[in-house]
Amino acid sequence: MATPEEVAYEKFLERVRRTVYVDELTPLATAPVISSAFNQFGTVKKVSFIPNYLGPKELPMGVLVEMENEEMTQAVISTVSQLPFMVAGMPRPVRACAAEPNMFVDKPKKPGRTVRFRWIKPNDPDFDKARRVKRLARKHSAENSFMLKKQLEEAEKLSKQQAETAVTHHKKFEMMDKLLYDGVAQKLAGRYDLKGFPYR
Amino acid sequence: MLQSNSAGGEDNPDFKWGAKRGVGRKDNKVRFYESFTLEGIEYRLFDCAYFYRFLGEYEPQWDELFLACGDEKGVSNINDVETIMGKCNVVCTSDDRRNPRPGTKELRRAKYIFSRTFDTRLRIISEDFADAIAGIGVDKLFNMRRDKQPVKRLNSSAAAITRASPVKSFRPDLGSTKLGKHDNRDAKLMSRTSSLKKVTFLEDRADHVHVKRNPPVNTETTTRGQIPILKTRAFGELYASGSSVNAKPSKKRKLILNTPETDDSDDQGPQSGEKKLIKNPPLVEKAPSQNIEKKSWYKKLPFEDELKPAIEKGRVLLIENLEPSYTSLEVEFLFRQAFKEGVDAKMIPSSPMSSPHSGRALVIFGTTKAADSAMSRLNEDCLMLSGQRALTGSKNVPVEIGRCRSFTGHFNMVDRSLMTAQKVSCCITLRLFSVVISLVMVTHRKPNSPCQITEYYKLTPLFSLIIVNRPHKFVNFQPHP
Repeated sequence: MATPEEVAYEKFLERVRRTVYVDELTPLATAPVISSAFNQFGTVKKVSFIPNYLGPKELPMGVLVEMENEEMTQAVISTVSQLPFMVAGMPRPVRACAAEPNMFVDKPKKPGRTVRFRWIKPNDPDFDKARRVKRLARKHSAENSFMLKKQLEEAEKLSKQQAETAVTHHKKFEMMDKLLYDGVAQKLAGRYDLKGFPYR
Repeated sequence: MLQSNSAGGEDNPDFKWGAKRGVGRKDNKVRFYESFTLEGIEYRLFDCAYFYRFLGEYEPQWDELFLACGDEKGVSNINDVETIMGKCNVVCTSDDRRNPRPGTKELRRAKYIFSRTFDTRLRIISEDFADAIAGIGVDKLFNMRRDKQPVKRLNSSAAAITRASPVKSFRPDLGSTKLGKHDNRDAKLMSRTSSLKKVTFLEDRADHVHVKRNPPVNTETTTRGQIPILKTRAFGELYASGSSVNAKPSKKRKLILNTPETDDSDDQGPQSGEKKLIKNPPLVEKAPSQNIEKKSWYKKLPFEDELKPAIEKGRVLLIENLEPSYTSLEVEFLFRQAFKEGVDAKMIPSSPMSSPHSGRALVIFGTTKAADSAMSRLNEDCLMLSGQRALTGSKNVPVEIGRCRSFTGHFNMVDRSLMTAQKVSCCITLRLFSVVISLVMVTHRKPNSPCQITEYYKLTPLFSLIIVNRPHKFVNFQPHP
């Protein structure tokens, strides 16, 4: 016989399966924008933003999109991961993956689990071990935040580079257009006898 | 209630502090508590209690007290816990029409009565009761009406009148002592509890009290600022210390429990438990304390709102290496158990960018000191959770809470209703506009083959574009003449 706690947790897991985690979202996106974007794949039941408490603030926003059923969820994930899909702006496409229970702010308690702890004093034989675990945990979290920072820097660099490329392309096209417009291209094609030149 | 630092409950095996309410504003070594237990009797905020009062030249009468009023010192005080002698019943025998008459039973049970007020400023005793004393409606100080009484008392009072029940409560915090002036007539004391608000007055008659229940506690005062700090001492010293104290009685005990939470509680309806308490001190008993749950003191703010001021004051710790599946409530529970601190915790939701093996939580402590001591305890010892997780804590919390300002490499469409292809090009920024123009020109080059943006995407990802409401069809930019 399942306890009410288990029932609630099972219900929660079912909700998790129906939910897509979407990130790389612009912080300006709002719930109506997101739900109208994902309504194309099915019915969006709920959109909940994941608060970014710890930063860095430049991290893209993450959002949990709860669909009506699991098929719709699969459709979202497969489409969005195969094709670039942009929400509320461009040109950064969003990413989607299946949600996990720990992403939910309002997740219920795991049934049957109790929080256990013990204090380990410096004179405890395990103290040294515990201290090493702590050091390792700190190291991991420092590495993690360093990687995030690095990643943001990379993104920034890439974005600058792309912007420059875009400007260069634009200039190139402009020049070509001008050459075509004022007839210089045709003249040159005639001078050099370029038979394949299409715009003559 | 005021706790002197060093004089904790340790000295006295029968004494134990109850729930803590906060720290003194001026002196953070002073603690306020909601309750304590002495010799098996639990004293809670808003209980009526009698106090040691050092009356100096007063010659208090045996069971009559005066209700302090006015706005001078003495109407509401902060009292040290050691001054509390025990719980008592106080009945109002005033003929004031607002006061329900006490029955004979009540009178018999009452330890003290009062029917007059003593104005601390004018120093006169009067039969008239002002409408409010120290911010408390006077009807709250009168006997309780029968209909408002707790159920168990209902049968007792025959008339609509309340019984002045003996007051049990004892509230060190609240109880303030009022002193008459020395020169005044026989000042009596009364202890009466009054509301949260700081009002209570009355003193006890010292002798009477002493005789009856002399707590093992003794007091010796050291004045710290305005707040006297009492230390528990040997029993015998009581009287001696008392005499030294009364030299400046009025300065010494001051107001009682006026902690910030109290103010918040005011917002609640008049029916709240606390107010009730106040209303008839005699009835008070335990109802008050139970009703005064933390919740009733203040409305819980959303976590974000609480986080901001807490970060400014350094009350927030970032706890790492938790089991990622913990909920915020479990973290709060853990801290309550491990640190004996009530905290407000929030698990940080995991994301593909966070470690899947380590959960993090932001924990807001009630005070900076509590946060610091928890922090140092975490550093010195190890708090090991099941699964060999040693918690780490840091003050490495974000300085500012707020939304992201920029999003690299992305151009927002400011107006969200504009989501169609044509309009996109209207509201994009200048730089992107040039991109779109370039795209149009590319298409222009090959009029028969519409430009598939995904192809372009392969060249420069910046150029890829899918419009939200047509995700499956790629946008075709038709060449404009």
